[in-house]
Amino acid sequence: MPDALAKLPKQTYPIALSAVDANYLDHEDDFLPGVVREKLWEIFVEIGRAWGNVPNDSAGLRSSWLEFIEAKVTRSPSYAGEYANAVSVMQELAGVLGRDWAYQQLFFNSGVSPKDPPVTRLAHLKRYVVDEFIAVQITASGFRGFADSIFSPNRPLNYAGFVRGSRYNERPSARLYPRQQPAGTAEVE
Amino acid sequence: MMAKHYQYVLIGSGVAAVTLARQLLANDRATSILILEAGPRVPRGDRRSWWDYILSQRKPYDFCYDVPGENTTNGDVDWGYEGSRIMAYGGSTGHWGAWCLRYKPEDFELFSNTGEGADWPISYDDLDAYYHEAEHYLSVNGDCGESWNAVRAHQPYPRPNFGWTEADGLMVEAFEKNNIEPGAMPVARYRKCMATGTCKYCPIGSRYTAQDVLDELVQDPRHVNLEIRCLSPVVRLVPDRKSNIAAAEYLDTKTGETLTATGDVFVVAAGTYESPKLLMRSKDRFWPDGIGNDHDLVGRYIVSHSFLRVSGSLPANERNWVQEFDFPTLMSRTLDAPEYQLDGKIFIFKNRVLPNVDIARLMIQGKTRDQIRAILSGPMFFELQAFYEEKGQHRNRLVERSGSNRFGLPLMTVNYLREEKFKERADNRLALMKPVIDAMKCENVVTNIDDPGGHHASGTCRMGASPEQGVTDKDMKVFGTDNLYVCSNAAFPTCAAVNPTLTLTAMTLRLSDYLIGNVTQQVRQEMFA
Repeated sequence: MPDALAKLPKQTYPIALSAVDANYLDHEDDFLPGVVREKLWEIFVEIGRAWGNVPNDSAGLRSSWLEFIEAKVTRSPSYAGEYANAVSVMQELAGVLGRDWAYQQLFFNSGVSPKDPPVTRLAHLKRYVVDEFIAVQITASGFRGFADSIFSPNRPLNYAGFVRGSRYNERPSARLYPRQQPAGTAEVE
Repeated sequence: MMAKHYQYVLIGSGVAAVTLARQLLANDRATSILILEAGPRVPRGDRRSWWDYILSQRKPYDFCYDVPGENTTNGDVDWGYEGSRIMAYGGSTGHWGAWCLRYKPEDFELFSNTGEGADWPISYDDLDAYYHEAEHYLSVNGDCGESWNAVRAHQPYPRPNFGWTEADGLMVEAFEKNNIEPGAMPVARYRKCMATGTCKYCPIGSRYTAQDVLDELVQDPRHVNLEIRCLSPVVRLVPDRKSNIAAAEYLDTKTGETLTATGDVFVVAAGTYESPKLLMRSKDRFWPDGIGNDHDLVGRYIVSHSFLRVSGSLPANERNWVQEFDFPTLMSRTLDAPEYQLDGKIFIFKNRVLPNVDIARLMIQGKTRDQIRAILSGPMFFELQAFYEEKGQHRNRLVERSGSNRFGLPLMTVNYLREEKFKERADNRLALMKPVIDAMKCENVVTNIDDPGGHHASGTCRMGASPEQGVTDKDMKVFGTDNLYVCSNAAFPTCAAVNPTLTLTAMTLRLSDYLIGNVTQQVRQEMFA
């Protein structure tokens, strides 16, 4: 196993390993330029690729992700500073390590402890962007892809936070025990 | 400043106060009502808050809980305050699980049946129709086919039950092997429930909350005389003669100013903790020991459920079961029956969050796909849980102590000693539960008895047949007064083995009929005087 990102020489990664406050990073305004948004989307897509749990490069999750990003940027505390930081750090890591290896290391060997306060720019990227994108991806249906196959009939149908979409009334909420109580005991259905 | 006068002054803004206001306003849209709430209004349905909850389990109302260590316990258990109530507009329905179970006929006759605890001054039959109304109001999803529902033969639930999940199946079969009838948990959910598993902060308002109902009442332009004041803890009630409460003094915590509201009827709907504290601190020449406390009963008989748990594990989870609802779908009331009443009935249900694997956390830790799949298919855990019914005891009492919390509510101590036979009785109940886990062929079986907590606390202003037996009468009116009511779990003489909110809602509907009837009668008398 190579050294974790957090253990690499600081002089090689002056942005990623520079010290910052553990609190949310400030930004001039609560606006997210399109170019930043698309760089962030790239991180989100790479999460699905790395774990192989979402089909079609996460295209089906983009609307959920956009809604999440919008809520994070326009509501307090704004993540505009975190997102600008993420793009800068990612650019540096990809420049030195190469894009694919940078993502591999970031996801599986960052050396950033989830328990410690994030006091480097790299730690901010991991905590406030990568980790949160992972949670969004899982709740937006990524949980299913850890069953036998993404298309397995036995995979779970629900998970904390998963909202099924506009046809929810026609789809089962969960895998049900096949032997149920006698039906027809309610007034309405 | 001259005090403003209201027909009704309601103290608290949880399900009781809101249901009462709703009924009074439905009867007469012009009814003047003041609702005084100590806590703030926390916005609901906020997408950012919901995402924050998904990411960190941080809820927007977390700051409205009791702070650990603020309130204390004396006795042989550590009374659980934390996370048990929300001090905010809408009260604890902001976080409740919305399990809606009726008390059973024997719950109203505990003393007659066992020689312990107390009887209610009303029977199940007095509440039956109100239960039905409450189930419709709260939109309860349930199954009437279960044997314990025979008592309600002509009252179907308004919504069909949620089915047992595939992961419930093993325990369903284990119940049956032990002659325990499996049932469906009745829960208050609207039809649009999407089972997102984030019930404590529903993104679509699918679970009943008093806050949503109160918002609708406030926004209705016909309700010109309805006022809500948040951040306004009531300091004391002020009688102008022994039987008549004239005013409520309350603190505007934003300005520090003490204000007064006068009223015709006062309803303390402030929960099992705040209701007795308010009565006890309302001392004056008419009530030197506090209102309704001439017999030294206010604050006594505090009781709640103790939580019993039996857990175990199976070596493999071949179908990758995870908890697909955030509420239990499997329960039974077989052990919540008259023959178990003396030693304490139990209401059993499957742990709502097991089996489960937090996939996102594993990814965040850097686990690979293969590692996560191995964990998902590896050992899985099950737990059978139960609420154990304890009986209220005279020696157990909630009292105020010096100091106040961030919302201006006085701090408190619960003096609590277990029943003498508690351990023996609880162990007997665990012995009824353990065969279920054994029948599932679980390994590493562990049993636990948790301390009681505030979630279902009741009894501190309990109803009785006379002032010597209770603080409130069969209509929840404080003995010795003509216009003061305690509409709260505080008025319950027993806590049965199930969640109290459906019963509280039914009691509130009953009280509203009583109050509306009284007003109608009063108007008639005035017309014909």
